[in-house]
Amino acid sequence: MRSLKAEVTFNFTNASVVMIDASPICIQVLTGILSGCGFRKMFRCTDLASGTDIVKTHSVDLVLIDPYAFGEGAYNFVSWMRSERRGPNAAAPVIILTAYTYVRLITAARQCGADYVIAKPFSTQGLLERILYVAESEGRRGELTAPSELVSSTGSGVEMF
Amino acid sequence: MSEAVARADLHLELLREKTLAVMADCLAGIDSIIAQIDVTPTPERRKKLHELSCTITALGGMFQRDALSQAAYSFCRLIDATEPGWDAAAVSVHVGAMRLLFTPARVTAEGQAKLLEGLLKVRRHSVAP
Repeated sequence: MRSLKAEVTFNFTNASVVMIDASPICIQVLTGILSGCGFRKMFRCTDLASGTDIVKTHSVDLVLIDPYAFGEGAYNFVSWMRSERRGPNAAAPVIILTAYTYVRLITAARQCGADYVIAKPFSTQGLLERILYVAESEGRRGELTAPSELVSSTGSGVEMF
Repeated sequence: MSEAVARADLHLELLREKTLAVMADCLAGIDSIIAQIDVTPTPERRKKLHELSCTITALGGMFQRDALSQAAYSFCRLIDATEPGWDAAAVSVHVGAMRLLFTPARVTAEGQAKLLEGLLKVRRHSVAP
């Protein structure tokens, strides 16, 4: 089936994205996908401290974070980012990427102010569609969609396999 | 959008060999840790097994190994569900399935589906009270 967004046009050249994932290979894969989608300003962080530094010192348009290795610290990071003191970055879309999804993660993601949860593995199209979705969904934060499958190459989220 | 997706897929393709090598290393790491387990794994070994399996879950489906991702995910669930215990037989079945599904051409689509169904049954049996 042809995607409804197949002909959508966009330009991410000036958008800055922060990737926070403890797995270097996952960061590389994500970098490959995002650069293909047109992102040029990419910050690659394998720990929360460097992600925090980036948010403190740069204007950020999108955050992609895998909380697996960071536990509660990842959700605290998003909550901290959402605090008003972070200025323009407080409203930046946050997408949680995770290979291991469970109900408590969805609750934590909703409570900390993340915009979406995407299950790994995801397809390039799935990721891009969700980036566009959160970019278009300003003011709808908290309406986390619980996707239909947990492990899916289309990049959906939650199921209990 | 379709052009961007095609470009992104091309970039992903450039990482195929490297990613497959990482997944192979993860499988070898799982084998190595399991070989060191006597009765039940230490919390550190259990955590490492979980991490390695999660890496396979995350990457498999991006490189046409959806069934491998699902088998690895099932293994993660098994590790969690049996904690603090350990079901060596169920673990062995899962690891064997992952090894097989690493080369998906060796198993038909129907065979892969049956294998995953089997893993679900094994896991349910393993955690049944």
